[in-house]
Amino acid sequence: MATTATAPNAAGVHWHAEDGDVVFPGDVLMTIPESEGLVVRVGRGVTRRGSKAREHADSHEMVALYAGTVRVDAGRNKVWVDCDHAKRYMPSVDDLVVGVVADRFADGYRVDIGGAETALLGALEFQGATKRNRPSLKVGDVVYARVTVAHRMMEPEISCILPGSNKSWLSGESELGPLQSEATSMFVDVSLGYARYLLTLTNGDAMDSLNSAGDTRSVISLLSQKLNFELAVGVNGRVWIRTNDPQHTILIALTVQNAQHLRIPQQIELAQRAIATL
Amino acid sequence: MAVSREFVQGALEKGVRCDGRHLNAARHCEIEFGPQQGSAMVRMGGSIACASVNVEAVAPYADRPREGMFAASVDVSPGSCLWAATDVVAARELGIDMSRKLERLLRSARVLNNEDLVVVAGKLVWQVRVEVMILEVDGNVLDVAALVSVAALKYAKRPDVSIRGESIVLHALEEREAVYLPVNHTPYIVTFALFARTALPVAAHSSKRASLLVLVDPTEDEERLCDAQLSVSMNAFGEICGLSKAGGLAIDKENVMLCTSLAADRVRHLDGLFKHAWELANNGAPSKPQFNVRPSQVCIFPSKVPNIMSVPSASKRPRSERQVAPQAPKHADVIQGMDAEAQPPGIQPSAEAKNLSEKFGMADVQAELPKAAPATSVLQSTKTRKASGSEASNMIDKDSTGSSSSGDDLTKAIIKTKGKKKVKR
Repeated sequence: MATTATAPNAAGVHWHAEDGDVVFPGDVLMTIPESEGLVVRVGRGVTRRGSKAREHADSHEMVALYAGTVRVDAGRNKVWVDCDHAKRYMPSVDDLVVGVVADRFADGYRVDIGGAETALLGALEFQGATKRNRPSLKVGDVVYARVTVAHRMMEPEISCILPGSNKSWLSGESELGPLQSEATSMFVDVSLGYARYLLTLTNGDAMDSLNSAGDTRSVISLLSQKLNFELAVGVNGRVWIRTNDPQHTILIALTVQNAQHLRIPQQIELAQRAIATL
Repeated sequence: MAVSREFVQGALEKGVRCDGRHLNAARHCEIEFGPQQGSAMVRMGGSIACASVNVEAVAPYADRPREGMFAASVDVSPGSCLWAATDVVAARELGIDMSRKLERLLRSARVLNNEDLVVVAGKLVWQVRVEVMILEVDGNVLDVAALVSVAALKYAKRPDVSIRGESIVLHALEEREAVYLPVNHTPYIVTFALFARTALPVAAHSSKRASLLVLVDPTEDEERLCDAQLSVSMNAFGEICGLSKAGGLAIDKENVMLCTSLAADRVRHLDGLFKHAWELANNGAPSKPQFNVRPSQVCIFPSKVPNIMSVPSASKRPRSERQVAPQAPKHADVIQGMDAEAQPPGIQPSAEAKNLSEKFGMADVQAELPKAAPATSVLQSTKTRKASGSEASNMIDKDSTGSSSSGDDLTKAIIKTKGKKKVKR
């Protein structure tokens, strides 16, 4: 670790790492004293060490879960660890993931989300689903879902209900749910960091910031000028694509997948070449 | 990457594979010898494997005093792909399956003759083990494993030996340069994924060949979804050393012929890569000369070699018989191959066989074979060729009930074309 800045900030948090540090699993990122009203926002890759009763009875140690770069927003007490080139997904709550149904049983499904363990998806965990009226998924079907339970001692759970949305799964308008028409759709695996990057591109705020930076063009937006497609990015490193023509699906999938190793100008050239083959 | 069968089928009917290749296109392949003698690494697309060869001087088995020992094993690393980490059993099974196929290939193509690995009959033989580690699984790992194991064997060295009276001396490296293992052949495996067409295109009704979609160098998805896989093992001269088929789909002989001719193209390419890498390894930057013999075994005197006379013999045959009669080869196919060697080559091909081979492009393969092959290589190739005919019949998967009915015809067809080749050469 490059720094050992342990001076408490205004809120009383002792930082042991600063933004941009490279950490290994188990490295201590910060120490939080036991105090009322202190809010620390902890993102993925960070967890609390052991039981607080043992040695630091009056404080909590936050440690890194995997090797990566520390990201710190000290002003808002936010901390997370970025692990951009990783391929193995570690579930954390509220992540949007692309999963494949691995098994089905009476009251739910077992879904492979690319993590160490499969996730559970309840049979009624779809927007507007009732006991009589619910989707029936087969093994091998692809779903777009949100992680609701992610705990080291428990099997992760996912749900296709998006808080704040009331579009029924039946209408096909819901954001989450089964990704249909397997005959013309596929998904590709990308690194977790690239999947997040793709998600920030589709996020409005990030798009604006890119606009201000003068670089509005991304692989996806370039491809969308020529092709009609449906695309879902899961932060578990899966990008699902559907078009009406399998050839176009493959073209988009490969462009998106191969762009992950390129810089942005090269990505743009790749997308332009892909379009030129049409 | 994950796709459904419908999707793959739909794309294949349009002539595109899920990674953008054409049906006949193989992925980029790299062969690397070293860094140590006896180790090699191969990448094919995303699949990576490395192999290391271990040579030890040991006492032979009591019932086989004139044979060295050879074994191959394949291990699939738990980090090689996403499923291998979670499904350890499946990864191990894949490794076992591949080691079996690989050992069968290396033995039946006689990459190493067990008889060549003898230092002093009954006293000291070489034990050669090739260990393949699959580092990344991205489809077609059998081809990668075969290629890397042959490369590692070719690059492996053993210490030089001299016999002074009663003592056998394994020379340390400072004393004498190590020598290459007697690797005679370099067979390659080319695997095809076969998909049955759902509907025949109107124009292609006339040809049986069009009933199947044949994919060279399948990816993992294609391997998972295909109806059958056909592995053709072949040497650089386009001679088949073996066929292995997995999956329940019946393959007609037209498609087997198509696969073998595609395999010949692929093998020629791989052989070019292999030779190029070999030259780089030998003429490029000099690598540190090393061999994988433990220091304790570098100098062995008879007193240290276990006395085979005292080892209870597993065989019931009297010793005298064993010493006089040459060892009976283990496999039926080898017997056939040896018999064939004694016969003069040149079985006349039937007209039918000629038609067949011309029809399916075997003639083209012939034409492109190196015309002025050196005498030694021709000799070698004749050997493999003879073994190959019988191999073809032995290695066709007995389990595949679908093709068993046409299996005999198919074998005949291959043998006949082989016959024709002999004449042409």
